[in-house]
Amino acid sequence: MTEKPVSLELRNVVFGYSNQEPTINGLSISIRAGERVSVLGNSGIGKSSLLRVIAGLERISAGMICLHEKIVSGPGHHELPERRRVGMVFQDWAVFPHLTVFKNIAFGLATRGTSPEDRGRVEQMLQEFEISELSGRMPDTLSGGQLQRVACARAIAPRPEILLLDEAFSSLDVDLRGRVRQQVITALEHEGTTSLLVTHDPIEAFEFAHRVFTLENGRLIEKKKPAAT
Amino acid sequence: MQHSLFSKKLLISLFMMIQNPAMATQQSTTLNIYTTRHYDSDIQQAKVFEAKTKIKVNVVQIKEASQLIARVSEEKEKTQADLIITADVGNLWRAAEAGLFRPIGSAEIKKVVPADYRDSADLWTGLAVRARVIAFNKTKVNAEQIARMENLSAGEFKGRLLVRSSNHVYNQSLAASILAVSGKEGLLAWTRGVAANLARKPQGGDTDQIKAIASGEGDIAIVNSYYMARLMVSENPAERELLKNIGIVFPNQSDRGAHINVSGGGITRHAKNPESAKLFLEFLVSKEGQEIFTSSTREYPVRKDAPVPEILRSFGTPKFDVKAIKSIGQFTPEAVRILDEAGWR
Amino acid sequence: MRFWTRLPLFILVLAFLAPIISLVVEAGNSFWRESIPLRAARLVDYSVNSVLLVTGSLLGATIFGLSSAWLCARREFTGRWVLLWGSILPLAVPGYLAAYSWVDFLIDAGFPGGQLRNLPFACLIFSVCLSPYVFLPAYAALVQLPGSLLESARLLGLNGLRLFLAVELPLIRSSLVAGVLMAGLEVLADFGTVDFMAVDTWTTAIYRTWFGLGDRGTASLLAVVLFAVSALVLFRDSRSRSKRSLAGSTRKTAPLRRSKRSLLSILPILLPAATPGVLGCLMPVSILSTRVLRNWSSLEIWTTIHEPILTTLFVAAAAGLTVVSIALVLVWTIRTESNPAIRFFARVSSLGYALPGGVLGLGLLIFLAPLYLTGTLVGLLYGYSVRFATIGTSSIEARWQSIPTLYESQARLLGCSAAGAFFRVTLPLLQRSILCAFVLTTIDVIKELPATMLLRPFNVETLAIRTYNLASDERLAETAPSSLAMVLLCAAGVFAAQKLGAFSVGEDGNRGEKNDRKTSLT
Repeated sequence: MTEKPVSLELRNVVFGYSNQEPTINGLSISIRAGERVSVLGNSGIGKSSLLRVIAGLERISAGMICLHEKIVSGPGHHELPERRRVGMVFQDWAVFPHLTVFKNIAFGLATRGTSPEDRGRVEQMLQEFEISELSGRMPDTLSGGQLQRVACARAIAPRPEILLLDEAFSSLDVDLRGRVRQQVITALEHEGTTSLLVTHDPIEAFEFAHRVFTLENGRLIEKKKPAAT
Repeated sequence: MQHSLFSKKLLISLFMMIQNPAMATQQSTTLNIYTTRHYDSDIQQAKVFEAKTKIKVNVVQIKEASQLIARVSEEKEKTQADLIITADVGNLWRAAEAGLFRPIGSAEIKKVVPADYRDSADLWTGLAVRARVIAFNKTKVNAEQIARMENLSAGEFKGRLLVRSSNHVYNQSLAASILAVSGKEGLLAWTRGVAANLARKPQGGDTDQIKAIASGEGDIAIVNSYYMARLMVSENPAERELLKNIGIVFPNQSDRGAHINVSGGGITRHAKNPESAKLFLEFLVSKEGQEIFTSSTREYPVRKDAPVPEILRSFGTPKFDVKAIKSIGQFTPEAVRILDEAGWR
Repeated sequence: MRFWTRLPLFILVLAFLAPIISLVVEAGNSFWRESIPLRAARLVDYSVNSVLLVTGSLLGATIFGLSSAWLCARREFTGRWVLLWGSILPLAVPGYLAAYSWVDFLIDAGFPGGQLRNLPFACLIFSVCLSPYVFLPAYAALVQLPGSLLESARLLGLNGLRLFLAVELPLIRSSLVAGVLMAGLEVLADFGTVDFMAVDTWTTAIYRTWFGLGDRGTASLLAVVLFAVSALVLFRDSRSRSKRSLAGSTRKTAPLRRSKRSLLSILPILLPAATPGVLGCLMPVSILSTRVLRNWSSLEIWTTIHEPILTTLFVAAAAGLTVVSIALVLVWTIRTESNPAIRFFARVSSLGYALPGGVLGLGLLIFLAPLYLTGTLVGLLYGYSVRFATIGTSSIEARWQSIPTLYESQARLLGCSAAGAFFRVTLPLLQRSILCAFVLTTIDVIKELPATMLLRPFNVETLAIRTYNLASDERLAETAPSSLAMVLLCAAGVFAAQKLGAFSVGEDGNRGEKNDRKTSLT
């Protein structure tokens, strides 16, 4: 894995909401293509901010972020989120309530699911996440686990270079959590997508990732897997 | 009777709304009127005039003269208005002060309209007249007691007087006419007396005052002859019944005459169709035009030889306070301030 | 780039401020020229009346609207739908019309007129007619409160009125405030109703100064004072609300089930709750219908009102479209713009509502006349936009605030530009509130009088103008056909909007969002 190119790199990134202590302070990390990384930490210490910064939803105040060896955030430069080829699954999933499952998944595709290729891609996603039968349903008729899978399928469908997951599994019950997690891992490996998960749950962090970090004082510290869980 | 939902005329007027007619080059085949009046008589006159002259009449009606004057003043030389008609000469005086008029220049109007009803600089002419009269309960009041408007402030009428709010131009110009003859002190004393005699807070219109006499809320009301005459000829028997015990007095017959509200018109300084406007004014003071005023809205004509309908003839030939006509506009602001001071709302 | 995205806003803001600036200049001129000619004592009376009228009307509207909203949201009873409709439909009856029909009816019934036109009765008429401004947001907010929240409060020992005051009211407060404020502004800026009801308010001072004293300048000055007070209140409101704005969760919450009650047991709340429906809708409509039917033959109804009906519809629909488009630009800017100065200006432009229509008309006139725009449709629509923009903005903005920002972020991450995210996600989610804004504006334009009268083109007569002219000529009985037509048009609008879910008063009483469950697989 070490010989693979660097997919995401953060160098001395500083970020904080206005008038507050920076929540990310001189943070650096380098993630290689296809690698899965977890960031552990209690709520409110800036895990979500880290993802939002990488996605380009927030502007950093210092440092630099490279995606696929290209600077996307840096001094005087800010690539818009829609140009970054970053996928994201939010804690609340944010499945568009006015669109069917099919249209939600097709949302990020070039022709929005009207071309044969796009349709094929959506079908493939539906199958990978075992939700083919939900294709025509509206989101308000779905359960949490189903919404969860729609959100993941939607994020992966446009083949992002990197997938960001914000506590994506934590609101599900334990059984379901494991199943969805496994589906996501399979899909990620299948696509060769890099991914970054933030979570407050150590078990989840280690189950998901190759490498696990904790966010402390605005920086990342690598954590070894405990002997037993 | 129009049967199609979208008449052609309506469609045209809706689309015309998109464009300012004044911007198009205009023939003298149109006449644009800004008026404060909205009576059936006016509509009928416009129709007859259109048929006679083939001049198309466009009307915008703005109830409050001050707003109408504001619109014409602001539009300046771009105004679409050729003719301004208002329901009270005080407002014509204001418009003249604001420099909105040009001389009418009609020999015909000078001939048929008495000089008292015309502006001395020929900027406007009176068209029709309504009198401010006193209606009273015949079983409780003697007509002699209220022979003069001034009598209404007497202590004997305490709690018996009915009148509409002084927000209305009729009462403002009535006060102005008293100010003109009795001065500030005289008007203040009179309005204070009236305010003290009121049977109830000034409210409603003139018809409401008449109804209030009928229902016994008060005995004496200051009203307009127009509303009185309308009730007298009403098709609704219940309305005629109201008047059973009600008489009217044209006040001040032994001195200056009854106060009148004169409707009038003038041609705008920036009129695009001044000839049409002149023709229309001449039509309005013609026997035919005057008869529409008297028969449709039961207003008094300004020309002496116009026919007067039965209902107005039944009032006799009252004397009007014509001397005040030209000074009302000038005295109104001061009169309003005095009305405020006296507490006549 | 920043500049270009802001350009439409700058143009709008300028267009909105122009008439207000004209008024301020007009007022300023008079201020330096001479002192206020009205007696100060009268001004104090007028202000006191205004304050009393607003307080009384809002208190009444709140009591009526809240009791009805709570009953409809929390209780199941026979005739619940009748109450629901009765609480919405007074929207279709303008205050002046309710006043005309009530007073005329009561005087005809032999009631002494002198006891009808006064402050308390004016308050009653306003409370009844404005109660939908309270009912609609209150009901929508109540049914959206999570049931778990209320149930846990009950387990903690709260019940009935205490539960309402301690939990429900604070939670729906922010959605209520906007409606109550709108109602308050409407009362403050009204002249037609208060004049008819013989109550002298601050607007009386304005118009008396203008019409009686012929002093436009001082009238403008008084109007600017009224405007400033209203603006202050509006700004305080928007500040206090923006602090509390929460980008809500996307998760579903189960609403509380309505508990079944007998009519008798809810009578104490039902009485105030049903008042607006009876006094503000049922009675005026019955009075007007009776008059129309009684005079059916003599009035040649259709010929006299069919042109005003079509004109009114045309003008109102055009105004609705204009206002909605403007509102979208404004709200988008308020929402995306971080620069407080820009937000401030965007707010200012929605202040047209805080001015009496006739005075706003003067400001517009001063500004429009040099542009050849008086007496044109463009001028008229411009006037309506300035006056009613805030109705559009507030209903769209309220919904917009409830859409989680996550949706837009998510769309951006899926490759949409800012504009793309707006058109593909936000706009469809706003559909209902846009419709709502359109209908509410249309209804207000149908009822609008003073600005229409001052700015209208030749030969254009709306139903409101026809009604007013007949009424001011003291032919109240003859106003019935045009009044009834006006009420029916507005009611049709209210009905359509309700059916389309514009008021979030859904069939299942659940959430405002009801998705049609069509599959769209191709």
